[in-house]
Amino acid sequence: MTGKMEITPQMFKPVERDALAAEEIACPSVGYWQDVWLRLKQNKLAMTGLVIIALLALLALVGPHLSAHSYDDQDLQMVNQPPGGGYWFGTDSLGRDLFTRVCYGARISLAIGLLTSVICMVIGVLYGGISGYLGGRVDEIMMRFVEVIYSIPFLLYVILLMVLLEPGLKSIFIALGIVYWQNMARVVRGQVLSLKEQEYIYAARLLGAGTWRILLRHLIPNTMGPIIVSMTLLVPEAIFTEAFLSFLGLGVSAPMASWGVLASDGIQGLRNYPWQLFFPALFISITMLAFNFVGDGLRDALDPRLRR
Amino acid sequence: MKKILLALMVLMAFVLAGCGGDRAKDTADKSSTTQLIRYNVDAEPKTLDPAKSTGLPDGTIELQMLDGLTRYDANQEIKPAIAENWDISEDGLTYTFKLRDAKWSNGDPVTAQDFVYSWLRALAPETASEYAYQFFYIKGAEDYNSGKGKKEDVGLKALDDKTLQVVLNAPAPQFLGLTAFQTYFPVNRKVVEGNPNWFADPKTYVCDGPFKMVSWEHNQKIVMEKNPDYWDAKNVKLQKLEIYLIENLDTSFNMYNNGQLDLMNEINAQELPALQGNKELKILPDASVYFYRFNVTRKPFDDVRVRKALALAIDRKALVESVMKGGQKPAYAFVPFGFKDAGGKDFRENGGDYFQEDLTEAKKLLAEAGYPDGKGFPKATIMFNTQENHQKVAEAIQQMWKKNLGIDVTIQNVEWQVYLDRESKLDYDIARAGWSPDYLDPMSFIDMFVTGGGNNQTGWSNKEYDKLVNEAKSTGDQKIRMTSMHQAEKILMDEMPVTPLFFYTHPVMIKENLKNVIIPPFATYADFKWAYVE
Amino acid sequence: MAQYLLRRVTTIILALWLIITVTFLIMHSIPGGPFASEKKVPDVIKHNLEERYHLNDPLGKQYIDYLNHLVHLDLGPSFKYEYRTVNDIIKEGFPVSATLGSLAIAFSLVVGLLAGVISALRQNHWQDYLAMVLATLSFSVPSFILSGLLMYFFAYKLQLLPPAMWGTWQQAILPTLALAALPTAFIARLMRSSMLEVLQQDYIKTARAKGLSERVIVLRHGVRNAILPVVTYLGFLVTEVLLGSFVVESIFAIPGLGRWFVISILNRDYTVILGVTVFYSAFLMLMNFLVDLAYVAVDPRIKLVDRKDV
Repeated sequence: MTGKMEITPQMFKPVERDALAAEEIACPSVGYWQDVWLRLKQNKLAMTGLVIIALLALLALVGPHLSAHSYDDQDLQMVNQPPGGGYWFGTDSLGRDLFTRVCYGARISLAIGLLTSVICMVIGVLYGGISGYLGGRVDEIMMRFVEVIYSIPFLLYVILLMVLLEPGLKSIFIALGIVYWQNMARVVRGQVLSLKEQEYIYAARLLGAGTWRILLRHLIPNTMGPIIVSMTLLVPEAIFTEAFLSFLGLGVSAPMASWGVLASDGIQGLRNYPWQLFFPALFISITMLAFNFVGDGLRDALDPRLRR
Repeated sequence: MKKILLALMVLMAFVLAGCGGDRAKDTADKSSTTQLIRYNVDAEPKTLDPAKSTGLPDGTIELQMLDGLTRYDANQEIKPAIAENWDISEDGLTYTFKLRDAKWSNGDPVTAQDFVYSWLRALAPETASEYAYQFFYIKGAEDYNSGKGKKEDVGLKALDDKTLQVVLNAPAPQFLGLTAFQTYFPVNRKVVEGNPNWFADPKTYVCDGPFKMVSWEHNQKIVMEKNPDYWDAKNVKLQKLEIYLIENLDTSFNMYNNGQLDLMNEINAQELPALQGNKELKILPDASVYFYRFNVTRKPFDDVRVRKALALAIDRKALVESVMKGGQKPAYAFVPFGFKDAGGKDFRENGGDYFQEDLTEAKKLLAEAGYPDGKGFPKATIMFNTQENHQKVAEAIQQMWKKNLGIDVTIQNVEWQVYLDRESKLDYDIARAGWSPDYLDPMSFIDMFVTGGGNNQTGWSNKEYDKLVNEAKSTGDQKIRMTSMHQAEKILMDEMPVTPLFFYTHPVMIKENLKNVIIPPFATYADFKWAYVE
Repeated sequence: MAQYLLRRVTTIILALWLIITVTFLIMHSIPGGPFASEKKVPDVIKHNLEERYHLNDPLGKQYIDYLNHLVHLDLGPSFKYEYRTVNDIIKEGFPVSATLGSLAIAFSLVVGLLAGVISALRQNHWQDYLAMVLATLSFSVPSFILSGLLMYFFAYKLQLLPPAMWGTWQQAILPTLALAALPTAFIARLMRSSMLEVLQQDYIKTARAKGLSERVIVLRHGVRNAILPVVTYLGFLVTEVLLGSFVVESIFAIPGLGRWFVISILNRDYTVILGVTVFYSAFLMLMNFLVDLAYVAVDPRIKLVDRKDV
């Protein structure tokens, strides 16, 4: 379509200013992200989610300082105490303050969620972007590779990696990153695939922009919406998966524990010390919900079909 | 529209109601006094071939179906089983067993040739039995197993159908006890030769013990019933035995409470405080020790003062009472209670404690070693295999060292196989360990730490110690043996390449109407031969 | 069509080969072998063991042997449960897992779809809120906690249901619920939003205008169109249920393949891990393939083209 037409400066001529002024829109112009924010603000659930996330972050930051106990202070005389004055959330089987431990757990679990989703975004955007943009054979090979990885039961993968890398924060990031990037890659590729057929990309190419420039300046910024949604939804998923690994004894632990580890410790005391399960489980669930609400809200806010 | 909705709601309600269900049937069948015991052994057995089995679950299941030459009774005394009586030559080297008229469950007689065949089978290199070394007391056994010697040269002979003669390398008083151990159980030659997988199928599991296998649902349960052909069948009162193979302790506890189990082998530490005073909770002795290894090839643990300082700064009583909660005993020596000394008294009671917790002394030692108040102490890590209790113990000790000595150590849990691998490669600073004996003699503990011993794994070596162990191993004279072992243990505790933490116990939950279940302190979890339901 | 099928099948084989190779390499680089045990065995015995299982062959030979057996559908013996083959374990464990999985899938489809449709039809009524609150809750609790809670309340507190094991229908209830909770919630939410979207379409208005009964409108025009996203989700559903089975089968002591798999990972049972991984992967790929075909059957707008967008 773009074919053999030759374009010369002579073919263009300045537009009359008045003609433009006549087309002026009465409403104040609203930018894309402003627009998204406006719509997000109307979504009560999403806003609740945002507030909860903010509170959780606050708790992770200042929570440990609110309590008189440190996360690893043991008091073997005060083991398995129920929630009460001295210990807001009670104590665990070594007499450590559960409130402080849950706050530290927030740091670890949130860090796992956020960093994993950032890692996935970086890998996914590069991989999916390149695959989608180049298309053809490269795309096919790259996507088949994703398909192969995807078909391997990921638990085996993660467990093997956790064993290879020694349990710890770093291994969790790597293991989860390796597992979850393909979803992001698919999302990005799908977006790029549909966007690259758009006229403004043809225009950019026509004006001589290189592959990288088109990729970084035009395609990726325009795929940001779905990427952000995926990232938001990946945070709780990573936290969930870490909790799952904790159940198998492969979570982050000692001396600081993630929520998953706290919960799987707590489940053994369920009959006698239910609070040891209740608080970590509560925080996992709240986080799950908050991020999901925000993710859903964002998706709706970004969906052009819902734009009024 | 309303109608559809209504229909949908009804359907949904129906589905949800289905979840409520009616009362579980399993709770109902613990009726009156059927002679049935249901027991959880906590794992699927790796094999039920006695020559190849190693684990406690395997040994426990085999013990119900197989009878060796001897069998331990309720007081942990060795009693005749298939062997009616035996003679030990004066030099302690030749054992002659006289077998009784016993039958296999297929009607064949149990003969001395069966024993010779079974033991040689376990020793054969092609069998690749992990526990073949349990036979290495017998003359020529090690050579045959390693391919250096011939089968015919092993000191084993059937003098006639009912007489078995065994010749040992050196006197070994523990040998008699080993004849009750799983690796020494007999198998039926004809059956085994006809079908190498005979032990995998209840139909072909020919046995000579109190019970025989009826069914085996993998990862679920093994059902046994009384073996009418057993030589001592008149003393077996139990008609049926169900052994469950479930590894999750929480699940097992729920099943016990729900009446699906009569006897629970292991209990989560978190349950124990709430069970205090419960008549069904029994805390039984266990001849095992929980200890930490120091890697003496690494700084600063090459310095005995550091090792001692760390050992003296652990509050073992708090560990036992607040963390383990199962009535364990703080350990101030390496060999647990429950082993007989030369005079018939307890080895541990005679030996006593070899050290005491002492903070001032610990601080002094640490300062002398060049780390006053823990200053400059290198980075060190406690390694343990992933398990709830190990983690708690490590966390508690980490805190004690921090508080008492000013030393910061990190703790690291690793997966079981990795843990074993790193331990044997001496790739650790401090490692958690446990040890339970193979036979009821202190030697099972003492010979671990000889120079280069496979179970040493600390890099520690001491000539005097090696000499004492050798002395004890080369004589049948209990007095000399025991004296040497006491002396060796003292050296071990003075040098402290390992620091004992506590002696295990075996807390079990057992329904009150169960009688005469033997729960021995080592080697197997339980013996149901004499058990019955009241 | 034939070309498309051929392509998919070759992809699957290629993927399987890659999986086998990568898994084989990873397994052999992990410290600790299948025969490590706390009591150290003398070197002779270790040698005998390794000889028996050909562990001291060169890695290349072990690999080729493994592939060779695999072509003959022989996944080899288990190292730990030496009298059993991986084929035995799969033959025994998979039907149990499949039964449990099918129950969970059936439950999540029936309940999830119903709940989704109802809450869409009664949008912003109490039915909608109830269904969505329940869905949201089961969406946010990790399966091991849910399993523990279910067992605690129904088996321990109320003593209504047996806590564990497998065989009777009562024993299937709790694990099915635990396994189905998450997918049910997901399907309910998916169905609800899809249904809401469909109900706003012009053809629904047309149908109304034509005077069709509500039943016909909802069932024939609404549900049939709204169900499409759920069909796409089926592939994930199978994967989800399969992974969930690891936890649920371990907690409820169900002798399925998932529990075997978890146990064999802890045991370092090389051949079982490899065999089960290959089996699972093949199974999942087949399922995804079938789901794609099902999608075509349900949605007339989609035709199988030569290139498949993953």
